[in-house]
Amino acid sequence: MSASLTLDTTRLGDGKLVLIAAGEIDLSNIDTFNQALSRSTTEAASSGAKLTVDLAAVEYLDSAAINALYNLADHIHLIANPVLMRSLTVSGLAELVTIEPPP
Amino acid sequence: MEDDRRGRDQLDELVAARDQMEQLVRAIVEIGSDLDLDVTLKRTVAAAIELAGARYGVLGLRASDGTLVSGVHAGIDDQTARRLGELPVGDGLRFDDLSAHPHAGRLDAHEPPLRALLGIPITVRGTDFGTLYLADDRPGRVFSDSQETAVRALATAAATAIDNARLFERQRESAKWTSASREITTALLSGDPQMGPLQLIVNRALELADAEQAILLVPGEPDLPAEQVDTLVVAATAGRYASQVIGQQVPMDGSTTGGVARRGLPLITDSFQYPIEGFTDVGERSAIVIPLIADGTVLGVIAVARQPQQAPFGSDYLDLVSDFARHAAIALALAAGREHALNQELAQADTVEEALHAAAEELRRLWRARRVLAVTFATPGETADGAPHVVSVDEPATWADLPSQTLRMLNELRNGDLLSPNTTLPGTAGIALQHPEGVLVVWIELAEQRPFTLEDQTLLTVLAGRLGQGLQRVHQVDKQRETALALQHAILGPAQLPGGFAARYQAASRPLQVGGDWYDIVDLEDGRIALIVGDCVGHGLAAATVMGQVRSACRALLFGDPSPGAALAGMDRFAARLPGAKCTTVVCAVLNPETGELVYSSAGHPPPILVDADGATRILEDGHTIALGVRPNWSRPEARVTIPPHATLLLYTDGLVERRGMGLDLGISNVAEVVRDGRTSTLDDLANQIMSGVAPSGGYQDDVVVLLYRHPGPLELEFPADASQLAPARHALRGWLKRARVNPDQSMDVLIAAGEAVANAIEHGHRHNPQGVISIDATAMVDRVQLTITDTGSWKPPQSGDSTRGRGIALMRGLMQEVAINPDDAGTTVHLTARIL
Repeated sequence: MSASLTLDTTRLGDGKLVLIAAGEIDLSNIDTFNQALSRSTTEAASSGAKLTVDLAAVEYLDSAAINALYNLADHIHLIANPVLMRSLTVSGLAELVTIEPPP
Repeated sequence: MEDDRRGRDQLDELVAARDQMEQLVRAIVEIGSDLDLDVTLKRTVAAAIELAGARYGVLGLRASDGTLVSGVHAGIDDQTARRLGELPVGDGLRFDDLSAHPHAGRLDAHEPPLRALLGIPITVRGTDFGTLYLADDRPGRVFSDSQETAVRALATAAATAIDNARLFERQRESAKWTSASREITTALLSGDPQMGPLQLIVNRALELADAEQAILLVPGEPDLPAEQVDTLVVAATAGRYASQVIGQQVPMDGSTTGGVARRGLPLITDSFQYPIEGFTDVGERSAIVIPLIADGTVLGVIAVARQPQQAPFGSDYLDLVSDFARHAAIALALAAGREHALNQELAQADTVEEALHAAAEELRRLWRARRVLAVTFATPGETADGAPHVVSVDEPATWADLPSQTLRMLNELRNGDLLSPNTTLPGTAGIALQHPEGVLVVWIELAEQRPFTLEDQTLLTVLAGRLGQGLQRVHQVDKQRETALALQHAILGPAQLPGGFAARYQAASRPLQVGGDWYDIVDLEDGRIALIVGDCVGHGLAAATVMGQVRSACRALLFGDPSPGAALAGMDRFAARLPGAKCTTVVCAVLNPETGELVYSSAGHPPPILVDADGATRILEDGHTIALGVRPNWSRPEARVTIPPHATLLLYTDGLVERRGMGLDLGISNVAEVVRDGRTSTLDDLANQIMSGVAPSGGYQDDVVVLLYRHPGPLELEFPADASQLAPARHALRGWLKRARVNPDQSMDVLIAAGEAVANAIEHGHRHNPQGVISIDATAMVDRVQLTITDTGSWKPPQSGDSTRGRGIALMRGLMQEVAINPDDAGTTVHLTARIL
């Protein structure tokens, strides 16, 4: 059984691409997350923009997910639930990527 | 012609002198060639006669006060010899005709009368040992200057020979006494001596002192301290009139033997102050009286008397006999059943291990040793292999800590003969003895570099023998006890407590480890847990058998209806019919481990104590009514309370809180205070703190039970090492953190840190081992949560540069206050601690 994770992409009114994740990200579904992340980043890059990764509905993520985000740090910015801020800060990712709280 | 004759005379004189010199040298060599005193004396007299060309020779021996003691003579009758011997010679004297001398009258018994006399003193080590007399009754026979010179030279040589012979004799005598001492100890050591120890002592003393009679007196009131003893009793006799002397009583005051016993000092005497029929009335004779002293206490007195015509005891004899007496006293102290400390210690020991500790401690005290080791070399197969087991007082040590020289000696002793002391290393002594599971080597390291004397060795041998017997006995008792304990513990309660509980049990009646008190923890069908603490009337085996039945009844009732009130009502009926169960007190509580809800009811039992994380204390006095089996159909009330997270619940029996002269409320509040102070401790530590914190100075006199619960109980998860297990494990941990009331942010930190540890175990430890198992244990303390994640694989902490794995561990370290990763052969254990607010 994998942790429950749903992944969607959407374009905002200004045309920015957003990857919306909901649920938990761990070793059991990291591959799915990785694939969606790189696909979306590539897609966003083709229009010369950064990908927004919306983690507002993510209740848990581990270092595998943080690694994935690290690898694409130059190409993304994040929306994250405050409960995740501590691990994003501790891991140092917050210094490379802009992170906004959910609206 | 005249010249010629003078020349010839001179030549004759020279020849005679040369012959005499040769004769002298030969005599000196001869008298020095034997170490036997008698032979030496006889040879001296014979050589003197020859040198002086005399008819008669006498060697008179003197005691230290100068009186004539005995003598050796040749060619003369006893009486003349004795009279001659009484003639003082000063530095030496020579008479050509004795009849002109004032002493002549006393010597006229000899026929024909003695004429020429030569008397030369023999001085040994500055004291007058005796006199050598040479005499002749032939008319015109006189002793010349040169003969006197030769005899003086001989006397000097004889002095040395006599001194040597005397030294040798004393040594031989001393060896005889020493071997007798050992014989006595050995006989006592064998455990079943053919003869009583006292008899053995007097027999040996009689034989060795070449005496006529030997008696041994012991205190008439053996149980009184030495200074209060009034009489001595003759307890053993040897030699003449033995049957007549035995059993006679002598007062301590006003008797010679009593005086020796009081002062503890030996003496030589020929008159006794208080009559002992068949001993003191035998006639004037020399006797030696020696106290038997062991460990500073006078155990008895030996009196040894010689025949009147025998030589009196010399003062040098005191040393010999005192040494013997010392050994005899030690043997007596052990054999007379005076409970030696070692025996006492051994008797109190419950296990071989305890006995070893006690014995090592006792030996250390006895010899004021720096350290005593008791090393057990188990026979292979009897116990687990490995390094020999080391008991060390007063400096803790293991086999690996011991210096190589000590290890060598220990091994040597282990392979040598049993019960033979080894003292080759100065300042140490070792001995091997039988151990129930192999060989025990006792090793003593003295505080100072003094030699381990023969007496020490004898004592060590005796004690080692006793220790061996003691260990064997303790071992047997221990085996029986193990069986008994297994049965007792089966009556008592659960062998293993679920997480979140800690219990202590102490029975008042030793050696039983179970009494009328009990505790129980029962998993109920609805997931709740029942906690019971009760107290049947009385102590010991009788109370324990009743308790076993009441406890089982309570369990059965709770399985039927998981309500404390109903269970106690059922037990009321049971207790009313079971002899000895009436008036049993009990508190029964049913806990919901998820919510902390507790329903409880008490039958005459002291109230449970609940201490919150902040120290707030509640005494749970509700739901309380009378003890069991007293009134039929008595209503049993229930009360409820919710145990908040990190609160500690204590159930106990009255033995913990009841003190003579102290109100129960004070006892309860004292205990509550200990719980309050220890609320941040682990439950196990807190249980110890309670038991020691309120224990009366002499130890608990009553059975005592302590049962502790802290909410929430720990989380214990175990699951296969597979990524699919991550989410359910996280779910369980999230739920537990919520019960432990850890705030959401901190919960997330703990979840992520624990998740990293588990992910690492799955990813690295079990990549090639899908059967691996991972466990998570989480414990809530007042101010922190502690997690232990264990796996059966091996993942090493990351090398620097391994950023993928390194990030996970860095994350753990960033989120937790403490992270410890311990890899070993069996797997990896990760300890995480998060402080909580």
